[in-house]
Amino acid sequence: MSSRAETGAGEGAAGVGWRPGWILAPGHDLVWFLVLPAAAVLVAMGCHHWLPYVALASVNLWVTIPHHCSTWVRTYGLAEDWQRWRSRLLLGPVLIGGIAILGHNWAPTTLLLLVTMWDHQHSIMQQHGFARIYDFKAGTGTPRTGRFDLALNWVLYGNMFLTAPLFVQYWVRELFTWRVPIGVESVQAIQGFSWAATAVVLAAYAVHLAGCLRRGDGVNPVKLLFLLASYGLWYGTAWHTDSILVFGIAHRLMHGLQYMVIVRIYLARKARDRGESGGGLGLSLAGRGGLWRFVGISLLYALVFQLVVGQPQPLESFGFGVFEFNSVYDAIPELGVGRFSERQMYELFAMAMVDAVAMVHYYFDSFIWKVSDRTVQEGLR
Amino acid sequence: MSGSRRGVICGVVGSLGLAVAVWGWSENRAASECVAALVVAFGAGVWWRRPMWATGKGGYRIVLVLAVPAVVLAARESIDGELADASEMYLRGRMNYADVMIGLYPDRDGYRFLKAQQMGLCRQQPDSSAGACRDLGPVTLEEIRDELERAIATGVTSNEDLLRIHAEVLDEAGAEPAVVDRARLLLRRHHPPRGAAD
Repeated sequence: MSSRAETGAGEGAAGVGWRPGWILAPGHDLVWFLVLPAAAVLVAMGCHHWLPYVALASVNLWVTIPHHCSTWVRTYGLAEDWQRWRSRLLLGPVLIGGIAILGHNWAPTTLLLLVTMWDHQHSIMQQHGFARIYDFKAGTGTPRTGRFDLALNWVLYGNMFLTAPLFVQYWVRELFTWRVPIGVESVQAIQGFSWAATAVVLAAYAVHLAGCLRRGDGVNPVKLLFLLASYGLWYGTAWHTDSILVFGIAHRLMHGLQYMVIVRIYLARKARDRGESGGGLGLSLAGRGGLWRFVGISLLYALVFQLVVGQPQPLESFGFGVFEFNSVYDAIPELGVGRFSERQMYELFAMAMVDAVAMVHYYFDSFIWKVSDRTVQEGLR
Repeated sequence: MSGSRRGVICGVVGSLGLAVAVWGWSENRAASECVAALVVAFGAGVWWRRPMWATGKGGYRIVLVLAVPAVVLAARESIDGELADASEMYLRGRMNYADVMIGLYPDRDGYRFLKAQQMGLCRQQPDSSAGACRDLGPVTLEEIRDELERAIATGVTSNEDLLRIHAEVLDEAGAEPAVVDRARLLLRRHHPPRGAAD
């Protein structure tokens, strides 16, 4: 007899065939997890046709930046998380901030590659995490289902990365940049292998699902619809256009909004379990009126972030003139490093800040959303 | 695997890594090779000792996994200066970035921009002996303009270089002022000039 999903939720449910389970509720899931990807594609195509390219930066400002704020609310604002991961929450940003500054200064291409690849890994893991929550909520699958989900997510996303023209232009360019020239036949061979591997993994996944159905472990159809919607967005936009605009807007809308929704749900569940008292700033954003405070803080954060990295003058103002960027680094003639101008110093800071904040968000997400973790499960029930 | 066997394997690998790093440094090999050897030695040490911080529960495994290749690439980029410049990427025989992308996707006109860049580079250095330039022969501004406009006709707006070079080529080719202005307007609409506060 196979064991129940590692999640342990759905206890008592009859172990039969298809068993729908929802992250929040049918209506909400329909909006945020099933229809949102399609809506995001339509919005992105509308932006492509009617708005300038700057629209991508605006989506970044009003969706991506606030979704970083959700991570800070969850980690620094939740007493439980703060106590549990204090050393990582303190040391991580310092370490990653240092890497970003050094990278921008000494190896900008490597840093760009690092941030980009981490971003892709982070996107895969977010959808994988949601898939695991779906099994957790429905009490479906076996302990091996998580590995199948992970393999499916990596192979589907990796295949898109290797075969969709939008991404091929980037990785082929990187290979030429790093002096690894590659010919048409080699690229096509890689793509052929990728499609074959994808077919094998899809077949294995189908066999696993069939096994779950046959043994009565159950399969959550909503999870499959969610994965279909997510990869429909990614594949559709990556093949539809050679412009990063459509993919970028659609992806960021889906990724950012779904992330903020899950953080809200998590905070609300934690607040419900704890009652009204204690729990840190994060829990004060749940409950009555909490949604507006949550949205307000997110937008305020976006505004402040933009002012800091977007304009040099406010940055100087925020520092009360104490920090004079011009004198942060002196010239080091022995190393051939000249003195930075104020403008150069600011640009270095702004670029490093954008990358560092994104990387800290990726890093925190790598340990705060483990669905197999009992404490995390409490916030998802 | 038993702890002692793992220790022996890691010790051998780590020692070899250190030896290669020292040999590479003494032989004046590329810095990235020495760094890669040091990374192997470091990795063997981590695998042997398995410190808490480097495990899944320790919380820094993801940083370690990403940092290891990044350190080698950073050494290659910053110390060895091993990154290809535009000429090398675009003009290298038939196996260059532009021709590979167009060979892969001949029906996607968005990549004609890469051909235009290649032609522009050849035009800037008419005596170039690069393979791609030899194949192209003499290049005119009109040919470059045609390639750029094929790309622009796809509706792509994300490529700032495409729109900027198109406006510059029109200007250089002596196109009607209204046509040049339209091209500049398109560029500014999608990619507003930065640093306006300067």
